[in-house]
Amino acid sequence: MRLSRLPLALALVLSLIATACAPRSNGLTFATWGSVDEIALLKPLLADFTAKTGTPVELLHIPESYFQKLPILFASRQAPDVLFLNNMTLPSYADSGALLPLDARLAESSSLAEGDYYAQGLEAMRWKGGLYAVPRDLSNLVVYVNREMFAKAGLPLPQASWTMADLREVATRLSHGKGQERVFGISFDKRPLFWLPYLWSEGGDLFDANFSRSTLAEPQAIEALQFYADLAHRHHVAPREIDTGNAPMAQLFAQGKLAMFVSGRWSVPGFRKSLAFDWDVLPFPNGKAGSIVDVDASGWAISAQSERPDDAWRLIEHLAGKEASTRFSEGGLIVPARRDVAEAPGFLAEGLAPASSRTFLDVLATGRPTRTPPNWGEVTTVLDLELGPLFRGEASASEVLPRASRRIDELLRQN
Amino acid sequence: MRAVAYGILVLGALSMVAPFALMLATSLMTAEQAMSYPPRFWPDPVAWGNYVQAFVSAPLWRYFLNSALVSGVTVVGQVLTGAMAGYAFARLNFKGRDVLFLAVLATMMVPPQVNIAPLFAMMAKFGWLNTYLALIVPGLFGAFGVFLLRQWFLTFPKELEEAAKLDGCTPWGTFWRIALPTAAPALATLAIFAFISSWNSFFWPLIVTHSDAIRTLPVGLAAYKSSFREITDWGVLMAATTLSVLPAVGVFLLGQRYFIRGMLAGSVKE
Amino acid sequence: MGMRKAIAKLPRYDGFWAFLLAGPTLLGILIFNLLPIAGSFWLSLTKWNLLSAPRFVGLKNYQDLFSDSLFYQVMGQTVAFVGLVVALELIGGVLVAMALNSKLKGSQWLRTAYFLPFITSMVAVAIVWGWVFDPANGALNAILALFGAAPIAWLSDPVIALPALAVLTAWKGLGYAMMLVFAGLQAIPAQYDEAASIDGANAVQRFFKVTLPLLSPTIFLVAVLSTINAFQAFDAVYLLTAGGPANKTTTIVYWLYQNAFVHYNLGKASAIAYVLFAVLFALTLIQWAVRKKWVYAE
Repeated sequence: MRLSRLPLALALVLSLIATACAPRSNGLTFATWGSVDEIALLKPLLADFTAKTGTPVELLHIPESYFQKLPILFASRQAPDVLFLNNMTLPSYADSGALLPLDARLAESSSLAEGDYYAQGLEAMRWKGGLYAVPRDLSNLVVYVNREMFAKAGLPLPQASWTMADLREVATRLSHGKGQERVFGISFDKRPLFWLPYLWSEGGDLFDANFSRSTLAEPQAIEALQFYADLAHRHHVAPREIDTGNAPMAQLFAQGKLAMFVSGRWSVPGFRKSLAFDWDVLPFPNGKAGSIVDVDASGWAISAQSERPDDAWRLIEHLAGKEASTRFSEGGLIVPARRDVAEAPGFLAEGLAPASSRTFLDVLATGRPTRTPPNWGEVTTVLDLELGPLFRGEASASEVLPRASRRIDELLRQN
Repeated sequence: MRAVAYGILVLGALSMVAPFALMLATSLMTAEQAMSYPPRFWPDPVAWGNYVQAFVSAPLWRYFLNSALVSGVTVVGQVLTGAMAGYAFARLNFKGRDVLFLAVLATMMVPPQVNIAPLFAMMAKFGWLNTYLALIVPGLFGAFGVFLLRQWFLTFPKELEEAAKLDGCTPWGTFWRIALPTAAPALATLAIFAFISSWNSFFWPLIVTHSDAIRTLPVGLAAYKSSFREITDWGVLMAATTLSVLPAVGVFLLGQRYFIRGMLAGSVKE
Repeated sequence: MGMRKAIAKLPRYDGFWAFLLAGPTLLGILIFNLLPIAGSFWLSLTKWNLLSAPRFVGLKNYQDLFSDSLFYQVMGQTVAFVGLVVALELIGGVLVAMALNSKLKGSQWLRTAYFLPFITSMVAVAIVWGWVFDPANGALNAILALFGAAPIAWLSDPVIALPALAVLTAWKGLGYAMMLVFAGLQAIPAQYDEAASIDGANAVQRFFKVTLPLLSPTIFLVAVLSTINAFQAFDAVYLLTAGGPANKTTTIVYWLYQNAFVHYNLGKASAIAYVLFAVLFALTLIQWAVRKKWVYAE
């Protein structure tokens, strides 16, 4: 009869059965991104957890396109029990009900307490008042400086109270040379992470308080972003694409072609190893509204699909505890979200550059998390598109920002 | 007048073939030759090694295997189910036959992109994402095949059918032993069409696969192209592309007549 | 022999056999075609980002679509793209079909050449044309250089990129258009042309006054089929321009892909799909109506 179709039909049926009755692992799945070094830190911690509690943990390491691949796991009902997130992606997950609220668990926990963490870190892991992740690290921006270049130019290192005008002045004094010998005063990056401090410090912002509209076309925003673009295109103290091509700012700083470099804690391990000159960090300069940088955070959340939420919480307690946090901070890559670890000598690392490690902690007081709507991905696409001409010096802020603001309004209305 | 016609034909044919000739020529050039200025259109020396390199830089053999498997099973499935259903709609009498056929035809009027999101969701739900199942199963049943074979079987002589019935054949027997063998041309048309269509398919495989182990050739080729960070090695890329094109060209050359018939199906009175 | 007699004794319900023969296809088409068509409409009434169950939002996706300036830009670009592709395919197709129709020696081989682009995957075609369009080493700029002209950034120029993609799409589809026109030409009885020739009309006059009117149903058919196909352009955009520069080459299917599989906005993507469906459905209906008329017009 249907002999030729029998094998196919059989295969179909078998596979349907197989997928329907896939044996559930008796442990937890844990998804994270991270470099090889970070995973090397993580694996022993997970082994410790299994030894302590008897619950095996399957590590799902997704080094690339983490946030492209994760939703597919959720859609296939294969969401990891514990997942690593950051404050910019948390809103879309929390808003969709994909995460379990953790306030009660944290309050009742015997090993973790709210007071252990910097308030800004916890705030970054909240959405509409509820806590959805426990923070591991805080990420903020500081200004890395090449002390030797300051000394050569006869300039003292700026104080924490320095202004935007001071920044431009110092950058001008530090820029010199032509062609291959050209040295720039300050770094330039068109990604929102790196220009948001300029925007915020002048009192501007991307959105209003409840994401109902964009405030990008307001006078403070226009002034702030024009100031930023002018650094490269009017005063020539920051590199333009035609000056340095696609060379990363970190590379230029290391080569001594850049005097000041706006970046985060993640640059420290590499700089400790490879920088040939004396360097330190300064807080971001002050605008009309103060010196406001981002305080972003990454942390662990529990998926709403998890069939073992209690075990998942125990894993988070283990990873967010003092010992694990100390291990993560070794090597200098992150600013720990735990106060006790951040204030400990391990992090402040007297004797190791940067001497002003404390700066990373001081700016927490004035920083703010990058607040994002659920469709942040689409907003960044629009920002990249609309602000491109401004950052290439082809148009002014008052020309591009109103249009960008309107496009973002459209996106916000779609939420 | 004839000269003008010849001129048009030859010019046109040249413009059709020229890019492929370029592809072939570039596939035999080393990276330096390909990027040299002024550009050269003739490789010297000939870099046969590109074809070997293509298999080294990308899991090309895996892509080929996957494409062959997917296309092979798809063709068998489409031909069989298309013939079976086509025969049923053409020669059998049953309640709702015409309505059902209209429904089948209606699916041909719907652009495939309409189905993509729910089909993707379905694959996710079944756990078929990134497996051969997602690549093969949805494509096994095609309205085009039903349409084509029904056209063919409509012309199947009733006398043969009567004779078979008298002989004690069931409709299945009539189909399998008598009607199907005579439908060879239509089957060939469908098979060739289905093969080329499946071999070249890109959008669907793109979204249901995300690892090299499962990718089909077009998706693998696209991934390979985007894997070049700074400088593209055009020579090797062209070699890989040339290899990917050969099977479809081969199948086409084997059954050109049938393919053209398939192209015209439904547009021209047979 | 015993088996045969036994089967012959089975009651003959055509329905049962139809179920056996047509069942698999019908089931398959139901599950993988009809269900998704309905599912897609339902999805277009929801907001879904894969992270949790879809959330019903009524017609909001359509409202958002019609108040999104990008929607109009994408539609406009797609229409312009389709227009150029169809025009090129028709003109080229008619020219070559006419030439083929002159029954020249060796035209069989030439005919094969015209199919080469059609049967190769769009991915392969796009990769090859990407090389042709390459600003530094591509064939086109090399030819320009021969004439002393400056190189053109074919695929990164905001004005030229979309027409460039249209040319390569038309190039790929020319064989198909040509074949259909050719079949239409073959169906025209030779006496019309001969009569006009006897009446003293020259080749050009014969073409415009006799051939073209008789060919018009075919041309219309090819136009509609080409249009439907061109509307679905995706592969070349994905491979060569990713919708850029500045969204200038974003066609409707590429935009659908971005919304569905990059931003994971599946509700909005389904709404886009249904808009596309509405446009193509109207075109397909027209094609069916015209074809019926044409087939019986003999």
